[in-house]
Amino acid sequence: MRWIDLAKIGFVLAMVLSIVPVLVWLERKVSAFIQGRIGPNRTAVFGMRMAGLFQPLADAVKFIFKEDVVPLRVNRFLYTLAPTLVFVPPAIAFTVIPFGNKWGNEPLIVADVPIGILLLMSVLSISVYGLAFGGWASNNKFSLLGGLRSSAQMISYELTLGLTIITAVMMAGSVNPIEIVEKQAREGWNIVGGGNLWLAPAGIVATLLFYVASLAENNRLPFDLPECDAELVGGYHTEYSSMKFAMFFMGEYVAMVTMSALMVTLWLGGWHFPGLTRLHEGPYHWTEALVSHMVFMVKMGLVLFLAIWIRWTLPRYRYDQLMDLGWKRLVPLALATLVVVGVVGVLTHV
Amino acid sequence: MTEIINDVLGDPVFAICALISVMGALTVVSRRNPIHGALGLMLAFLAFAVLFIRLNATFLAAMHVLVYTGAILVLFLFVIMLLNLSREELGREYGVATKGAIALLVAVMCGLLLFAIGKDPDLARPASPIVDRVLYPGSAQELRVAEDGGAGSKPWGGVDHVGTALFGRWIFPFELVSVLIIVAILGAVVLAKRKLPPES
Repeated sequence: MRWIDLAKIGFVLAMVLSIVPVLVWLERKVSAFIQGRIGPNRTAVFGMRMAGLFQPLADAVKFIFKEDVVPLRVNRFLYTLAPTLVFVPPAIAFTVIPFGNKWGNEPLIVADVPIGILLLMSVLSISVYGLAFGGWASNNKFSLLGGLRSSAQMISYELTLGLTIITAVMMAGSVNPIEIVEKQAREGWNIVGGGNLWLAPAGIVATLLFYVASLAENNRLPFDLPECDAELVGGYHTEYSSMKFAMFFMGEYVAMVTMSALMVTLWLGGWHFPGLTRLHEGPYHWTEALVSHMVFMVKMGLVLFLAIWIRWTLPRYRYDQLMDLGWKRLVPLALATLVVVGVVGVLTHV
Repeated sequence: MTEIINDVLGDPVFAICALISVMGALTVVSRRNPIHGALGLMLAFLAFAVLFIRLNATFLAAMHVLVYTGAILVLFLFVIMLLNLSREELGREYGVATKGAIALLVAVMCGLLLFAIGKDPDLARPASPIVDRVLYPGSAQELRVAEDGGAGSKPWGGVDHVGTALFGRWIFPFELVSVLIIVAILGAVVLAKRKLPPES
């Protein structure tokens, strides 16, 4: 292991973990704006309020000092393991996302592995266990049902997600995220067909499908049944408190960050920005590295903002509607898009 | 025998993952609590994936985790959790005689397998050429090309090689397998949708 790999790991970890509190703050502020409120603005450090930016810090302190209630007769091992299983996989999955172009000869990605996107998919699929174990180990029927509900939801929407990822991979002709982004930088973003205008409609449809599926994967509204405490007594995390609950909570936000980064990488051209030719033609000084990273972060921020916007705008789906949407509409549509991209791509020689 | 021991000790990643997978597999067959069994199976699957990567079968490793660990085992868990069997419902332990007979049978089967592998000089060679032989079942010359990394600088067993093999030389069996899976799905649907006679 070279020191630069360690530095990149540290950077990505710090980046992902520091986006989470900002995201929580943004969620509160945007929800307040949409509902005509002011939102958190009372927390202050040395009298500085910073528009409530310290609120997540106060939340974290509160979470740490809350009593950690463990219900009677739970399976202690699985009960403790479950929040970790939700939190860790999305953080690991970020390793195969290129968060910038290059710094000298060093690509800005933690792990440049040949299977790339497939590794991300398989690592993300592990986090289902966190939901299932969390629900089962809580020794509560409602939690068990919530866990089963959420894991079934994740597995169902993973199909749509996988099919749309295959579509992007077909457009780019590679599963390596660096090559996917470079192809988009050379020829055009995948959302508009990756340089082939015949594929533009399919690209837009597939991007939307991917986004909807990623919302469902992360249990975000309009698919956030675990938050449904009035009708369904919550979900897999009903019996959790203190930092264990915070791990579930943070896991959801880390998954949102990873999914948004994947969306930017697969469909929105990664670090590429039209006009800024030096980003992909070099020279790759630290300035270009920084600007390409900023472009990536801004795109990711916009995608994240869209998720927050949707959350405070749309009502929630009922469970049978959610399954109907997943299996009867999204999966066939994603399959059709895949076929269209394949056939049109061959006919027009991608 | 000493060669094998040296190989294993010289490759700590293999040694650790092999140990984990064997222990996971033992957990699956020895625990009465099905949840512990499922956990053991999950551990074994993850260790298998690492072993696949050691064999250069990166695509297989990713698919293994994605399909088996991420989906099929979760369905097992669903069934286990929904039934939530108590200790009495799980049934009696087998007697020592039955356990011994099963152990003997498994040992004989494993011995036969090892014997067969030892007989075949190609299979007895180090690991990665085995993957090659599966992917490039052609002449010895083709095999050599593959060993030299003839298809460019990318390691074998990646997505492109598996894709070329599946949709080139093995397209017919591949499509047959897909027909087989469709038949299985249709069968499951027919069984699930069948109208039971009333009062049964």
